[in-house]
Amino acid sequence: MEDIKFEVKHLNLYYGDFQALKDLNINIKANRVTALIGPSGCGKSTFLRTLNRMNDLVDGVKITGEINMDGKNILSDKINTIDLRTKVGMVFQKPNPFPMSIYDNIAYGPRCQGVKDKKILDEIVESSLKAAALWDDVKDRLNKNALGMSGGQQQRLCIARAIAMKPEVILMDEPTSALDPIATQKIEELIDILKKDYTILIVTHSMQQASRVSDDTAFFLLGEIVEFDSTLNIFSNPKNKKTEEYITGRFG
Amino acid sequence: MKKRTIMDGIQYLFIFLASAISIISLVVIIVFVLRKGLSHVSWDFLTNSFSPSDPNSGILPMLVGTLYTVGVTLLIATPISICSALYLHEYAKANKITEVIRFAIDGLASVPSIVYGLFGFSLFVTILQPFTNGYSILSGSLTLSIMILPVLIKTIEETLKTIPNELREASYALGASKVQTIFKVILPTSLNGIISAIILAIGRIVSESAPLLLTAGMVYYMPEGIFSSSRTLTTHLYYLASEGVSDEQRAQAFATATILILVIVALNLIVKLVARRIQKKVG
Repeated sequence: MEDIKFEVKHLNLYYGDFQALKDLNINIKANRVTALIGPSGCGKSTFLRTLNRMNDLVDGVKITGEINMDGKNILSDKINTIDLRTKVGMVFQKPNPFPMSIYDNIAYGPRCQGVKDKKILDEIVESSLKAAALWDDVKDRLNKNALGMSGGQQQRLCIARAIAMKPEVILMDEPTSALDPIATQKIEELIDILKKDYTILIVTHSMQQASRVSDDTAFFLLGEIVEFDSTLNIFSNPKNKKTEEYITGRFG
Repeated sequence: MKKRTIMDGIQYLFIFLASAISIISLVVIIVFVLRKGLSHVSWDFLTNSFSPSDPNSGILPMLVGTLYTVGVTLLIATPISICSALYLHEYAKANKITEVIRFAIDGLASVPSIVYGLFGFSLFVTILQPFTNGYSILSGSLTLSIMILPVLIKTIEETLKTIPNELREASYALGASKVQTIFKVILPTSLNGIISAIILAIGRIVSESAPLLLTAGMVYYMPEGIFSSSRTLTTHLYYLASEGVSDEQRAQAFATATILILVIVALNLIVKLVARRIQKKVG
């Protein structure tokens, strides 16, 4: 049996009167890639954002239920969201580097945690960029503004920025939807390498991507998890009719 | 078809002329002022002190008074307006309190400047006299600070609105606190907007005469500090234009106007240069 990273129990989420997530129960395994698929508006991104409490930033959100991460309920008021977010990193749909140098982008998180030693920061920047397969591309222009990079590079920078926090989990919210096929391929290769060290959850609209990169797949529909199984089973032998219809492209 | 083309042409001409009026007005004013004033501008004029009876009078005290007033007013108003804009846009949710604040800001923006003068006179010059020394640069700057708050707050808030939410999310997702996000991401990113706000404010500070007449006074000696009463170039210009009957004084008025325009241009350039410096440092 693999380790369970997130144990989700009876999770409900409301935006005002609208219930976006309905009684979710799911166990996310550690050091695996879990893909969240489903049509737009099914709640997969919302679910992802409960795992690092990003929904706290949205007005009028109410959450009930439990998400236990290593035995601690991260939805509890006692959880320090800053600590949580250093353990659970996130990569967004649109590459969103800060308008500062490549170096400062990577060093941002550690500096916020109080790391000031230049030597340590140098090491973090180098190792993070190497882990994101970006070091060779940018090592000569670390002081250049990150906004001058290509979209694919920017997204890998955002991954490196997340890695720099030495998180346990990396959440990816459609990380390749704004990228061209070659940049997408590089990100997917990167995910494959990163899963040795991190638990990765990836929201994707691309069925091919889900089948290529993930070990497990959860199929969301209208705020519910319809089916959750190994990716192999979901794509070759879906148990639910809706799942089958979705992955074969009959709706969504 | 042809008629429509002609109508199109006429409409274009009209729109073009209408927009040209603002450029023409600016050029005419500047050329007019410079032609009448530049011949009287000299090193002596810039560095001499002023005396109503002396034809070789200069404007150094007013120049210094103007710079003092701009500096002190910005020192008071900029931090307040940055914090207010941050509160309105980054902290407060849309609720009753922000409604009241916005209403107050709009209200402040529509108060005539002479009313600020009267208010400043009765509060800073009279009641707070022990602190402000009555008619003084401090009283004037406090009055002007309140007056320019709306311009500053609104311009800075507009800038904050243009910062994509993705940047805030990126910062929070990296475990940054709200204060860290504001100081490391939001303020550096909005620096250009803050600078434009300050430039707008400088324009207003330098161009006001009514509030200053009633709060900073009309003393034409060199100010010794912020507790001195002082004239700015604008109030000096007002004095020269309203009391100057001789050709000599009229020439001084235009020369003062020339310097006033140059001071505004110079201050704008300096602020932009400083901004570029800061931006380079921030990254």
